[in-house]
Parts: sequence; C-alpha cells; structure tokens
Amino acid sequence: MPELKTDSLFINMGPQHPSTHGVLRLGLTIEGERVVNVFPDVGFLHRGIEKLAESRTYIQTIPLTDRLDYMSGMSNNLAYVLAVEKLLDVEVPRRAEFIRVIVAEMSRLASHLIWLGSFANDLGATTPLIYCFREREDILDALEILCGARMTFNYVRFGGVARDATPPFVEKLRKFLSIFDRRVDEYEELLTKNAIFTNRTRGVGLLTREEAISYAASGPVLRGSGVKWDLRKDAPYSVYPEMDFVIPTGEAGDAYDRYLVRLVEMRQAARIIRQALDGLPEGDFTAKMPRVLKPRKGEAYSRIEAPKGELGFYVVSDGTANPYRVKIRAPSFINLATIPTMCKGALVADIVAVLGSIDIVLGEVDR
Amino acid sequence: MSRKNDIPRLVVAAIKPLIDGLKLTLRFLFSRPVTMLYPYERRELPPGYRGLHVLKVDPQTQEMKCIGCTLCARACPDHLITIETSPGETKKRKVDVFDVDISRCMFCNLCAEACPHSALELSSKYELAVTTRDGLIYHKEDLLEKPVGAGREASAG
Amino acid sequence: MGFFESLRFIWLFLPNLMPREIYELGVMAVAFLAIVIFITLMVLFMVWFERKIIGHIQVRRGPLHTGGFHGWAQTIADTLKLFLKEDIVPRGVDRPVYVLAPLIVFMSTVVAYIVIPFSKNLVARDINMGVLFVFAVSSVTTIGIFMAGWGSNNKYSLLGAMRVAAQIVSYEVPLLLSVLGVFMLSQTLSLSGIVEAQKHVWYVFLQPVGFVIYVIAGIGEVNRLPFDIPEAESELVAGFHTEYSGLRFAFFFLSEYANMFVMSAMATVLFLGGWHGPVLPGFVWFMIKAFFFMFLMVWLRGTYPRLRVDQMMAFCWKVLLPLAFLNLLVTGLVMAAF
Repeated sequence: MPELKTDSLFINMGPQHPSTHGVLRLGLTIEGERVVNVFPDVGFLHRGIEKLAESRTYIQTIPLTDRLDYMSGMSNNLAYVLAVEKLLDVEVPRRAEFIRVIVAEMSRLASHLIWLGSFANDLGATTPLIYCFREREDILDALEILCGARMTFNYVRFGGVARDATPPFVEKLRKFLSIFDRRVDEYEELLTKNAIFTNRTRGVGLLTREEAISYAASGPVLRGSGVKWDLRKDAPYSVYPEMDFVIPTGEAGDAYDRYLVRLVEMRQAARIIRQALDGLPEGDFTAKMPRVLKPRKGEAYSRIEAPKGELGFYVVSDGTANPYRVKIRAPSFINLATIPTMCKGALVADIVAVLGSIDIVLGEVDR
Repeated sequence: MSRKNDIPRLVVAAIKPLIDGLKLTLRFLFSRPVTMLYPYERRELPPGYRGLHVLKVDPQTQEMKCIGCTLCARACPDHLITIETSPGETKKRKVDVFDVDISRCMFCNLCAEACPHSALELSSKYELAVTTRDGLIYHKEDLLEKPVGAGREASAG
Repeated sequence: MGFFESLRFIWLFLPNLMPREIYELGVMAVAFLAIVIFITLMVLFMVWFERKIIGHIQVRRGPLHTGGFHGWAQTIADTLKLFLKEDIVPRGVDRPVYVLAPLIVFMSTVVAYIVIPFSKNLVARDINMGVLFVFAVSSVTTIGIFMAGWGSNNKYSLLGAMRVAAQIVSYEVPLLLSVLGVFMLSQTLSLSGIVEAQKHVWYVFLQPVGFVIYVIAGIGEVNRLPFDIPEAESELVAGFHTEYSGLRFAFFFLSEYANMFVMSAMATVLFLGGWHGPVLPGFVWFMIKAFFFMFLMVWLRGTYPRLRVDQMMAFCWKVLLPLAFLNLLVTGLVMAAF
C-alpha cells in the first residue's frame, strides 16, 4: 500500500487571540491534528524598560518595574530594590522586612488567582474566573488601603517601604485570610477532581526533570517536574528564614501537576502572611535615605522567588544618580522556551492548556 | 477479583466530583451577587488613595502652601509638572504656572513624596475622562483644593 | 347562546363552510404561525434566562438595565442590533450555498416542532411515526452546517463545520438507541401515544439508564458545554459561522436555541410523561418540564470545562454506545421475562 504523503501546515496563533494571555504569536507547524513544532514569537509588548531605566534615577525606575509582571507588582519592586540595596549599604528595619514579605506573598496570591481563573477559562469553565477575581478584589482593596494603588504600587523602596502598614490594612487582611482557605477549597471542588478537567490536563505538556533544569525553568514549572527548588528556602532573602512553610513538588511534570503545585502555593502564601502578620514588630517602616541616591560603583545581582519563577535584577552602577545598566531576568521569558518541548506530539487543543499551565505574562516576556 | 471491584469505584470517583461541582454552582446561583451597581453606587476610597493631584491650601491664610521649589517637577519620572515662578510682594515667591499633564501621568506619588511642605498631594478623584486632549492638562486653578470636590467638567479647549 | 359558546360553534362549523383543502391550508398556516411565534418568544426568553443564570452562578448580575426590570429587553435589543447590521457577503463564497445554509438549519429545526405535543390537543399534526420524524428532520441541520462551512470560502470554517458534522452524526447513534428502549415499552412511535402510555408511570423510572444516555447525547447533539468545542472562541479553528454576520448569524443563533428546546421537549415527552401532571393544565406542566432541561443545560455550561474533540468522540463511541446497547439488552430481557 503506498505511503500517504501529508504536508505540514503552518498556522499563526495570535498575536490577537483570546487564549494567549496577551500579545503573543505562536507559529504552529501541524500535521493534521498533531503539532510538530511551536515557535513562540515575542516582542509585541516591548516597551524598552531596561533602556528607560538608564535615563531615570534609581527611585524613578521603581514605578517602571511595576509594569513587568503587572499581576504581581510588589514582587518586581522587591527584586529591584534588593539588587540596588546591595550597592547602598543600608540597614532595612525589621518592620519593613516583614511588610515586604507580606506584600510579596499577597502579590503571589494575586498572580496565582489570575492564573487559575484564566487557565480554567481557556479550558471552558467560565465560572472560576469570576470567583478568582472576587478574591483578588479583596487583596487589591487591602493593598489600596496600604499604598493607595491597586496595580502599579511603587511601594517597596530603598531602605524599607513607602508608607506604614496601618491597622485598617491589617484588619482587612486578616478578614480576607479567614475566608480564603474555604475559597481555595471551593476551587478545588470545581476543578481538581473533575473528570473533564483531569482529562484535559493529565499527561499534557510533559516536561521531565532533566529538561526543566536544562531549560533553566523556574517557579512552578520547575517544581511541577519534581525539582525541589525554591529561592525562598534555597537562597533566602528578607525574613523568609523565619517563616514556616512547605515547598510543593509534582511528579509527572504535566499541566495537572503544575496546577496542583500552584494551588498548594496559594495555601502556603496565606500561611506565610498569617505568620508575618502575627509577628509584625513595631518600629520604623523605612531607614533614613538621602534625597538623591548615588550608590557606589559596582554591579549587583539579586533574585527572588516571584510567582512566575526566578525574577532577577542585574544592576550596574557607575556612581551617578542614574543606573548604568539594568538587566532583568524575567521568569516568563525563560519558561516560555519550554513550549516546543512540552507541545511535542500534542493536539492543537492542548496548546492552550499547556500555555496556560506555564503561566506567562507578556509584560515580563517582552519587557 | 480486584478488577471487578475497581469499576464501580472508578465510576463513582468520576461522577461524584461532577455532582459536587454542580452543587457548588447551584449554591452560588442563589447567593447574593458581589458586584456593585456603578454609577448608582460608588466605592468608598481609603485615605491615601492616589488619584488626581491637589494643591493644598493653608486654612488660615487661604493661600496655597506651594512655594515653587520645583522639587516635585524634578522628582517626576516623566517630567510632567511645569512650574514658573516670579518674585512676589512678600518674601515668598509667587507661583504663576503650575501645570500637571495627566495624559502620561502614572500617579506614582513621587511628586507628592518629594514635596517638603506637603503642599502637593494625590486626592481621591479618579473619574478623569474628558473629551479633549487639552482637558488632560490641569492648571493651578483646577488643582487648588476646593471644599467640595467639583473638578473639571468637559469644557471646550 | 353566550359569546364563547357561539365562537366555539363557529370554530366547529368552520370546516363545512369551505372546501376541505382551504380549511386544511388555513389550519396549517395558523399552526405554522403559532410555532414560529412560540419559537421567537421562547428564544427571546431563553437567551435572557441563560445570561441571568450564568451571571448569578458567577456571583454577578447579568443584564440589568435594558427595559427596566432586570434587563428583560436585552435579547430584543441584541436581535435588533443584529438586524440592523450591514449584510456582508465575503468575496469568493459559493453564493447559493452560503445564502441557503442558515435557512436550512433554521427550517429543519422548526419543522420538528410540528409533532411535539404541547398538551392533550395542542399538536400541530400527530404523525404516527412522530419520533422518527423528529430525529430524521433534525438531522438535516447537519447538511445546513456543512453548507455553511463549505460556502464560506474559509478553510478554518470548513474544518470547524466538519468537526460539528462529525460530532452531531456520532451523538445521534446513542441518542436513538436510548430511545429504542422507550419504543419497546410504549409499542408506538407516535409522540402523543407515548405520552398517553405514561399515564401511570413515567418512563424515567422504567428506563433510568436510557434517560441519562439521552440527556448526555442530547447535549452533545446541540453543541452545548461540555461538548461545545466547535464554537469555543479559545480554540484555533474559528467555527463554521465565522463568515456570517447580522441577520444570517441571527438565524444560526436562533436555531441553536430552538434545537435545544426540541431536545428538551423530546426528553419530556419520552421520559418525563409529557404534559401529565396534577392540578395545573397540561401545557404548563409540559413547559415546566422542558424548561427544567433547558435550565440543566445552562447550569452545566456554568460549571464544567469543555472536552477536547478526540475525548468527546471517544466518550461517545466507547462509553455511551456500549451503555446504550446494554440498556437495550436489559430492557428486552426484562420485557421477555414478564
């Protein structure tokens, strides 16, 4: 019987597409229903943040970092501030450190909630999206009380934070935490054991341990593949060594494992916030800083465990008021490189599930 | 033998979560919606909300506290504040022009934090849509603190 | 004679006043008008109902302002908007195929309403093979969908149309097999006859498995979540009705909800005893039961993610079909034993 000769087809998915989480163009090479290759084409949201930072002072760059991973602005602020503080020799008061941990974990919650909502939405379940946004509203309301803004915070500053954590903030946060665990239970009830959901995510988007490490994947993508690596425990910063929490890992490295890892991370983030609130010491919320900042000449790299993975800032200072170079190691950009491996042999409908499970945000990918 | 027992257990394990999901959504069907009927209801904003700029006025002298030191203009990352001063009658300099261009403002609060006299703050006004481009440039008269928050209407030019 | 009695007298005397053919034509016209008006009103209500229910499931409100009370006029506003849109016919389409497709889909759905017994005497025409008629006629929608995909001059529409056609045709097999069990019990194919046969006990109690299979396969037939892969916006292939806008799209939209109602009505008639019920008039009971199924479809849409195409097909052929055969076997054995 003669061999059936087939041709592969090249289709564009994006840049305008309801499921690519932003302006991302995926070039798919498909044969029939099977995907042969996925080519991510990025750059549609490039705004030149790294270059802009060179013409602004150090403090003026902090609002720019808010716009990287705009789902979790505080984490970006924190990573940048930690990098520059290495060149500043400043002592951050303990109260400020605790507040930093609280807002970083709140950003983790906010980011994972959006991920969960849009992941379920891509798979067809439209209700978890609205439920997650309801939770996010509480978090953003608390952050609004704290620093006056809901998305572009500009809050973590050199030497501490911009404003103090007032009693209304603490009260609102505690009220939110008291209902949050039950809410995560609700999401699990809707999705975790749902046969349709597991069929769509089990065995889809496989990434082995070795592949994950060789791609320099980080965050839940790495932990979903079974590698127990979390910067909060393995390269700790701020007051994380004083917090008690567990690091979840997956076994199979598929989309379902990454989903479970992020759900556990949400619960652990709530746990950390509770501990930090209970242990919040009295004191200053910022150290005394000069009006014009001139860090010493040198280079510094600092990394944090952002919700999407390892977020790193490499700052080169030449002694003037403006940074000489700011290089951002964005986790979504690096994690996105795993897509061709994950989509090998998948069906077209799985690409949406895989992309959702990596959890990218185009602000970070393109900077 | 164990295979025969597995099938009913598998079936129940597959169907029960589906029913639980349905029960959950039914419960929400009969609960109160969490949405707010904007514009009939409005959110109460916390103090410290970062909205439109406002030039604070000294309650005793009814003059604005700003002395024209231009620290805010230098702190703004996008150079959106324009200040022009001239010698005043008293020792204080008179501020002639204080323009804030909010078309590119990101309400980052760096200007208000830079002010040494707390003369510039960010208020709670957030409904700032206008129909002209010039409407997005606020002048000194529009920014002065008013007893009742009226703000700028969509005016011509 | 009183006013109403005289009206009734005229109504009964009417056939004698004119040639038989004209009377029959008149009855057909009235029945058709009634069906079309019913479908229009039902779809108007159903779209609003779905948006409100999904809204409340998602702890929000759905339409609220249009027309005052909870946005009841929202569907009317949307339909008007569709009417007023520019009628775009893309270049290169196969014009007769493109134009006829929505009409075929719509008309084949409407024709199925002729045999549905809304109440004891509210049937447009009670054919003695009513069930066969309904399913045969609703299958013609597949042709209409395929025409839409082909006539659109768009390879993604064609792919989407092929998927929908495959899905509909596949899900018809367990659908009809589950109904066979009902035949064996009722011994008649006429829909009114089946309703009559359920006077004492509804068939849902005698054929529970058949009922479940019918409902699931019915949802698959109508392309509703969790089986709505062809119309999902988050998928790559855009769907067979991409190139349609305005009034033509309105026809597709209308026929989807009309089809949903046909499935619900058949489920009521075949399994839930049709218009039987105490106290309330038959028509009210029928509508209550049919709307329960419509509500079920909306409820499912608000809860579940959607199945992938291959999973959907595998579910149909590997789970529903064997179950349907098993149901048939067991029904036959039980009937032979008694």
